[in-house]
Amino acid sequence: MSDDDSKRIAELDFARIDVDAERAERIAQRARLDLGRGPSPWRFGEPVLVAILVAGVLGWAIVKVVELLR
Amino acid sequence: MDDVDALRRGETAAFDAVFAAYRRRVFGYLVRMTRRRDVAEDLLQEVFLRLAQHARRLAPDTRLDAWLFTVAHRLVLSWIRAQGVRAQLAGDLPAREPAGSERSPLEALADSEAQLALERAFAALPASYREVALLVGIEGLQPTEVAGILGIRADAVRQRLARARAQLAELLGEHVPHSWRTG
Repeated sequence: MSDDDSKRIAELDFARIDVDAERAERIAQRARLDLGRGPSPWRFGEPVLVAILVAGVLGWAIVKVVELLR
Repeated sequence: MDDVDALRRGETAAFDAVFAAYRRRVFGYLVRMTRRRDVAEDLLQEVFLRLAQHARRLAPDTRLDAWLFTVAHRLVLSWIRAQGVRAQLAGDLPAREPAGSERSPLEALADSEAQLALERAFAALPASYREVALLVGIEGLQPTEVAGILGIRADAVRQRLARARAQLAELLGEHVPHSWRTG
């Protein structure tokens, strides 16, 4: 019985745990800076750089193959 | 849903209220899942950073507890996977656990023998059972909500919960609450 199981587990006396106040304030402060801003556009930077690099190497390889075939 | 509306408008006071209301619950979940206080603190920061970043895109009917635990669950999964990769790179060493008689952060907080036994028993549960016991039994979420968070069926949540309780009863031995014996 799920209701009974959850009720019984809720009866257990777990130790109370919290993040310390100083760290909590730092987390809140950091998050407030991002409130409503959305994720940083720089998170797209890495995949774009990798894509440019891969396209460059691929282009270079194609040019070399074409040169060989001429 | 007042908090959600205010978050959608980017109100700092609403964010502070949500952080104060949920940080202990999310932190408790993270510590009991990772068994590492330092990791739990980092993941807690990530959960609330994501809330701040997604605030304007929250659906008006968002259940904040379910939203926060969904993010926390995904971060824990990523951390567990990364730990597995690290262990493999290190020659299949087990993930770092408190060694020998060293107490885990949760054991250190226990202020009675019964609480210590409980934290040890809980830590010994398989992660999938521990997670369901935490979310349904302790956080009071509905099995259907937990099913959504974990991406499994509600039946599977109920099954894991029953197994978690049975294993806890076995692991707790003499420390099983009196009501468990009579019920």
